[in-house]
Amino acid sequence: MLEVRGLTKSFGALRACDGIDFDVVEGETHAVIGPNGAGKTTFISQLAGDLRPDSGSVRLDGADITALPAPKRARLGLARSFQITSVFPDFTALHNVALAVQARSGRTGFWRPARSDPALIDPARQILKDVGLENRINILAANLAHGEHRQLEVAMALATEPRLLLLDEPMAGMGIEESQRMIELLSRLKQTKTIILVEHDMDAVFRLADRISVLVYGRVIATDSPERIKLNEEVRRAYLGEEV
Amino acid sequence: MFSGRALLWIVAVAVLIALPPAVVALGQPFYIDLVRRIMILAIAAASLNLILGYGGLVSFGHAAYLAVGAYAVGILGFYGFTSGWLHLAVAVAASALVALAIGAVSIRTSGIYFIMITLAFSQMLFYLGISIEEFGGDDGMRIKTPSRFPLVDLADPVVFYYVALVLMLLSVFLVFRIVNSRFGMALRAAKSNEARTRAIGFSPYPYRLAAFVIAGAMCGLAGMLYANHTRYITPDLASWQQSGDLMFMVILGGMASTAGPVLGTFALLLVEELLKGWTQHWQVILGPLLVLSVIFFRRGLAGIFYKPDA
Repeated sequence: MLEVRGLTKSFGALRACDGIDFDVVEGETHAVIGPNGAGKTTFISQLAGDLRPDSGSVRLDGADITALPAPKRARLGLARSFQITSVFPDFTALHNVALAVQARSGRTGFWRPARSDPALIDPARQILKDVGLENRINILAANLAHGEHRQLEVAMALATEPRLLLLDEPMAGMGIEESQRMIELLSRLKQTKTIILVEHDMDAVFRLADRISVLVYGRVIATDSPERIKLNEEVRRAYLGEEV
Repeated sequence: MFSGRALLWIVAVAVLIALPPAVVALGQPFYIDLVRRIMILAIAAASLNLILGYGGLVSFGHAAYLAVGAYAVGILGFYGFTSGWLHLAVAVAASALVALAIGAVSIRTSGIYFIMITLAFSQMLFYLGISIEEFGGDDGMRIKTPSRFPLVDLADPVVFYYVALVLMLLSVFLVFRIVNSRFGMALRAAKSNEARTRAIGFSPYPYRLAAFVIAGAMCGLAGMLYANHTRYITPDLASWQQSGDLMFMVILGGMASTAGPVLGTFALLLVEELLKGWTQHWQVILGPLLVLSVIFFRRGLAGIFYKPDA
């Protein structure tokens, strides 16, 4: 479904991504792990279209999308969540998601009130229910708790009806209980969605991922099933250490 | 909450409707002129609020469209065209076109660059006005005959007053509908969090440009009315001071609120008028007053009456 070949991105002398090859098969949850500074966020940003690679290519369903800007990729079905919370703070949870539904619909209008439009509000309400925020729909996003922000991020990504979901550390900064809820949410999502999951939380990664790619110093040093990754010597040395 | 808001509007509109006969009865017809001028500038402020308040586009050159609209009346009149509909059409179309050109360039930038580019464009128009001797240069030009409409005589101060009142209310209503439509939600989202807006699939640029053009056209309408109001126009209409005044009306009244620009325009110009009658050095008092008002009314005068929309 997604094919990345030779993706390279440098910032000055630093090679954040150094010839990354990466594939995602339809229906799988493909986790990307790696130590801090391995280039994970740079990699995700290039997949989402927020950063332009120096060289290499990104293909979605065979079509070259390397040069497409983020909004166009989103409309092709590539949705991302952000590592650092990125929502519309002065909109309610419901209208955050309704905006994403609107973006997906591709329809605009200058006259009819959007905030009472059932074509936007009803799906938004359903998605918030799906991620477990049904009791918080009328709260301003600025007033939501951290864990709820992460849930809202996922809800917004889902509302664009993505074919491929890019989740950049959805568990970042969460407490244990919040993390458990997020893992449950994602394990439900993975039944129906293709997901790229960048995550530090190894518990989450090994529970959710079908395949794992390990990124170290801008290179993919291994791509394999979770069981084999755990046993991979090179990976252990480079990254996992005592954690496994 | 809604009924309270509606009540305020009803009272305000009732006062404005009753004002002309009341001030004539009191022997102070001068106030018809003053309030008409305020209402015309409130249209300009409402248009600026669309891009400044809701779009987050800090245009420091919005007075340019006021001048374009006014000079449309002046120049057409100069060549003997007095049809009001023609004046209106040309004022609105020309301002929209100028806004399209300025917006297409400036909206690609952001922050301080956007402010400076919009300022530069309006200054260009200002100096253009000064340099064209045929249309009066910096002396400006007199509007010999007002825009002629069937049935409605703009030369009648009271009739013109009610025309300005209706158009002001229509403008405010138009902005209200736009900012609460799907288009408006996307525009406000781009102000709130641009990266997020792009990630869910909106390109902010076309939304911002469309809003910029609508605001320019609406301000052009205000300019066309303003020319008919003063009957004398100068390039000063496009000056940065005028742009700054418009910004101040919006900020004082409350950015991104429906009634804000109207409240701000009334407050600023009424206080200005009051102080002018009082002392020659009115600016010395007005300046600190404005500073204090911004410090104490963070959400503007409209923030006193109701909470901001989500």
